[in-house]
Amino acid sequence: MALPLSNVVTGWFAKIGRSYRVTLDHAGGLGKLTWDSAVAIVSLKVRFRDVLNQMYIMGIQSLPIVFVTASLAGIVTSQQGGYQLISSSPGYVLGTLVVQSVVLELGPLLTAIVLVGRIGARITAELGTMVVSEQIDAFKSLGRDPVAILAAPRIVAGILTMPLLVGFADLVGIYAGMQMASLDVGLAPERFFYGARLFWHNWDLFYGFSKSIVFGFVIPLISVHMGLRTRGGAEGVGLQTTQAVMFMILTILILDAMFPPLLLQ
Amino acid sequence: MSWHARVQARAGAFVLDVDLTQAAPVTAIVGPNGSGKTTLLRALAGLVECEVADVRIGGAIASDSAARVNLPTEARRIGYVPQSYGLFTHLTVVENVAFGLAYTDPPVPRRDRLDRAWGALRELDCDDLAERFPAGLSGGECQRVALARALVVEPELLLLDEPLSALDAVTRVRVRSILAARLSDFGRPAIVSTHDVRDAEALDAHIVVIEDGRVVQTGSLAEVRADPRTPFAAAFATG
Repeated sequence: MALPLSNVVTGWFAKIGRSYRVTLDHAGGLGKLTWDSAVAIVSLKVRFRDVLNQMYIMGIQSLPIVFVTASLAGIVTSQQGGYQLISSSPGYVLGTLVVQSVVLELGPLLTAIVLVGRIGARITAELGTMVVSEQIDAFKSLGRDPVAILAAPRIVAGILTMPLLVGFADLVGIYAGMQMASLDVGLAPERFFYGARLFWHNWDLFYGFSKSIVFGFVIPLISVHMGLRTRGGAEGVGLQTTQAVMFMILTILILDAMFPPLLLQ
Repeated sequence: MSWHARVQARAGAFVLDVDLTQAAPVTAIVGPNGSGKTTLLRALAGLVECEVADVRIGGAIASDSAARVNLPTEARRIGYVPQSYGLFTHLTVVENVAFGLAYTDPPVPRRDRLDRAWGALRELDCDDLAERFPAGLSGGECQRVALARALVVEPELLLLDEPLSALDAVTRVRVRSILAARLSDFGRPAIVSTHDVRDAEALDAHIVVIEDGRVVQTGSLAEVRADPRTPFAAAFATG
């Protein structure tokens, strides 16, 4: 039997209300975590050793996967660009296409997506497990501030590490693209770089690194926020980790879409 | 040393609403499952948000909603042993026990922390576990390590959430006697939630019966036995 129209409409309003409430709840939680982390950093409660440890996990341990991702991004861009452009445009345009694509978009975005899977999910699962096994409660009762010890070092490490990883991804992606252009369409490296220089703006590098800093802040922030809100045992940890990954990817894509109108006008 | 707790907090289907003052060194919070025992301990520890709270620990204000004072857990100087022990799985037993000593007031010098941790483990007869990781410990061993970790920082108030409930019958008897001996040496107040009258008896505890978030009876075990106010209190007192 069909539900009366008034029930359907009430149901919609209830759903919209719940969505707003959840959104505001997350926004408030993220704002508070940002503020508390900033206070912990300014009041020198964050240990340098913890930041270095997180930078090692996020940076050094991520190099292999970033290398593979950036290489493939450069190779695919070069191949597709070669296929589309080489019969209608000068070959050096391929250099422009690869360098601009990697520096402006693929380097920061793909590195961020990789870090969501490798670091963001790990942080949420790790902190979520600590919450459900009551380690965070024990942590607090022993006089330790979880924000200063668990959240702030990860956020600082994310902000510092992400630009370095993106710089590495840019170099690898451009080199792989250049080699592929040489193999695929016979474009010599000097012609590739001629095209790259022809349309190069220093601002592009700043743009790419600005993205990386923002993504480096957002990934640990959301993953810590979601991890510390985990409830409900092992199942809760799994569910929260999945939601955190979706939350991070969506946020990164939205932020990515906001960059061109803000910084490329 | 003393404690006082006036707490109103929403916990699931009911509202926890209690007003308690220390009447003996050890207080046993008893009540059926879901009655609010854990919520009360967590409220005292500052781990749950309270609608109304007036919590004083060792004469100091931990929380006073009227005055908008609410110390975070890490500033309350409490020792809290949760039901699942909360041992840090990436640290060895002795590192777990030494963990809180860096943030005591005054701070314990780095070189003394491990010595103090070893001492605390010896007092609970578990120094042989010191170099092991929590994942390889039994329930009784985890409980003693968690207790050592909570006691080593010399808290103003010790909170133990069903410390013996997960142990088998034989281990429970052994850990109960260790717990009773250690709490009597502790010299500061402790609050223990339990389902078992033998725990309350061994710890010589003042009984607080909670049902549906409200205190229904307080008194010594003999008083509760003599005049139980609810069927649960009667069943608890007679074991």
